[in-house]
Amino acid sequence: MSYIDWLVLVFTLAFIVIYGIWKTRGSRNIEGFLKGDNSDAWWRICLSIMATQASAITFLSTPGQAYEDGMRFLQFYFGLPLAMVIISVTFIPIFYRLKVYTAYEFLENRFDLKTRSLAAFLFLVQRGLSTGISIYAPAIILSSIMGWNINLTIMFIGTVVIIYTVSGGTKAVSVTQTQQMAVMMGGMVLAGVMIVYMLPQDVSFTDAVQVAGHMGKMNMVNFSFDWNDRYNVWSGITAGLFLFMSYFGTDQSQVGRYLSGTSIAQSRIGVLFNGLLKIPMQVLILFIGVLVFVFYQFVQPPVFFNQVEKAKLENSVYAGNLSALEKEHTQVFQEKSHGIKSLLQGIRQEDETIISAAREDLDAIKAKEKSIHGRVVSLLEKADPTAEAKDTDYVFISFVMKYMPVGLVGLLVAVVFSASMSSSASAFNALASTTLVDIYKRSVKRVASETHYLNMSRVFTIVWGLIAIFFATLASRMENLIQAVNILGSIFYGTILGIFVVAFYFKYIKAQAVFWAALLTQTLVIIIYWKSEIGFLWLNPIGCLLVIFFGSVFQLLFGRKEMVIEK
Amino acid sequence: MQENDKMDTGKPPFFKTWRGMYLLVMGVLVLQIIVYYAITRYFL
Repeated sequence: MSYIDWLVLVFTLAFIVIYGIWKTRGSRNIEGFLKGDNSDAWWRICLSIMATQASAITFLSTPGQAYEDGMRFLQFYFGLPLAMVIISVTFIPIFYRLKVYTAYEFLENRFDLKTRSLAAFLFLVQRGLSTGISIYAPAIILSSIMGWNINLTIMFIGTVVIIYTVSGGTKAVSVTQTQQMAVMMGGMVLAGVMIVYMLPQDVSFTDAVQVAGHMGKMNMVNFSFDWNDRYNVWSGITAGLFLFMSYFGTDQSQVGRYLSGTSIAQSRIGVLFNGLLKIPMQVLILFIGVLVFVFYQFVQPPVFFNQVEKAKLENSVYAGNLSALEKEHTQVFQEKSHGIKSLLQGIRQEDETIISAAREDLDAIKAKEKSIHGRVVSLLEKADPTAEAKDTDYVFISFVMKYMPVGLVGLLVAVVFSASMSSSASAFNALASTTLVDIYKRSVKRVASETHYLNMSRVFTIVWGLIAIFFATLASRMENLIQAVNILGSIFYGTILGIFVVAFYFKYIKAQAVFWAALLTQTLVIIIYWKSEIGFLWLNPIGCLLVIFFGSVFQLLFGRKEMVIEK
Repeated sequence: MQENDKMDTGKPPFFKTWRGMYLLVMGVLVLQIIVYYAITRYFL
């Protein structure tokens, strides 16, 4: 990175953090620290919800996913607006009426202490682990690309977030998230405009979209159903609905965002606007990946996007094999250039015959490219069995580093840092709130002064921050980082959502039944994930429905027993 | 803050009841699915 990029990066991050600390200084009570004195307007709630969900992985992995797989990942979000409506109707009024600090407090009201503690425990395990991955993910990619030390990068992100979250609590989280969202969206829009500008002069924006479409990248909606297909309309609307209901309705990192609203109405509007804006935002991010794909139809891409792994291969005994594959890759790219030219000719002349012939040629070339990529991956694995074989997470950042103009590189690296910080800050805050309210204040020290609880909130924020940093330094390389977070969420969310759905809609199921149903379900979901090939999104509805089913069965059994005892 | 107060009436913006707001969110979702499906079909 150039000096100007460093300047842009440091100034952007420093401004956000210093502004956040200054603006939220003087948080003196627990209400202010955990609920931000209920001072957030709907637009801040909406931005805060979006910033919490948009982790650095969103900006690194999603364009890479679009580059490889097209825009089909979009369907994953189709259940989100429906979830926002259900949460607005059911969850928000109940949380407000009971004046809860965390979602799990409500469970003691409806069931008992052990069910509340179980849900809080499942949340702490799931969120603690996934926050580690959320910090690790950008750190591994940025450190590889920039040559930074991974552990220092992890510690830098973690420490900065701990500082402003400890200082200002929930208010600092939402104030900084407003600036972070502006940086993230501004940076991504600028990146999209620049990519279009960098295309060859005779290729217009419409040409770019047409090329992407004819090469299978505009595959936004698929109505055919397949249990094992992660992304289609049906899995998005049904399984996605369950995932997002769990995430937004029962995950304290999101519940904490809308509980800081000035009123139920403000919280509802914030949540519903998230339902309106989230899908277009994902379209933008995925489309940037598609534009990078189009760019690489005119400029030769590297044979493998992770340059660190490639460099390792170049220094191994397989260097000769790699060089041969690179030559083959260049030849195939030249063939592809002819194919793209005739595709563009067909598009401009609106000649279906030319387009079909070009598409056939390009499909054959795509198969060759896939084969070369596969052989590079096998070489990597031969040279180093622990090598990171998947390079999609590196597509966007390596493109940024190589082709983006000075200044914009710094801004886009700031986007990645901002995203990582915004989601981690919400997580630290939520982990601390849950530990304090649902464990410490409820079961460890029930009577203490306001100052004591405020200080303990700060201590728990630091402790969870350190735990997340520790997990991040231990995290192993996963196939795809965004999927790793979603898989981890799906394993636990179904059960937690099941407990809440029973609480809201199945009044006849009581505490004992739901507690044992949740424990049994969680065990079964882990076994299903471990032993079956089922798409991870389906774990959410399976978990939720199993809790309802076992809850009903156990209630019949326990209910009878209770009646016998009563008699 | 004044703007917040205006919005903070317990009623949703643009609509008289929350049902209207919910229908808007679901309607926009349906519209998006239709548009994105049309784009997908166009390139098949």
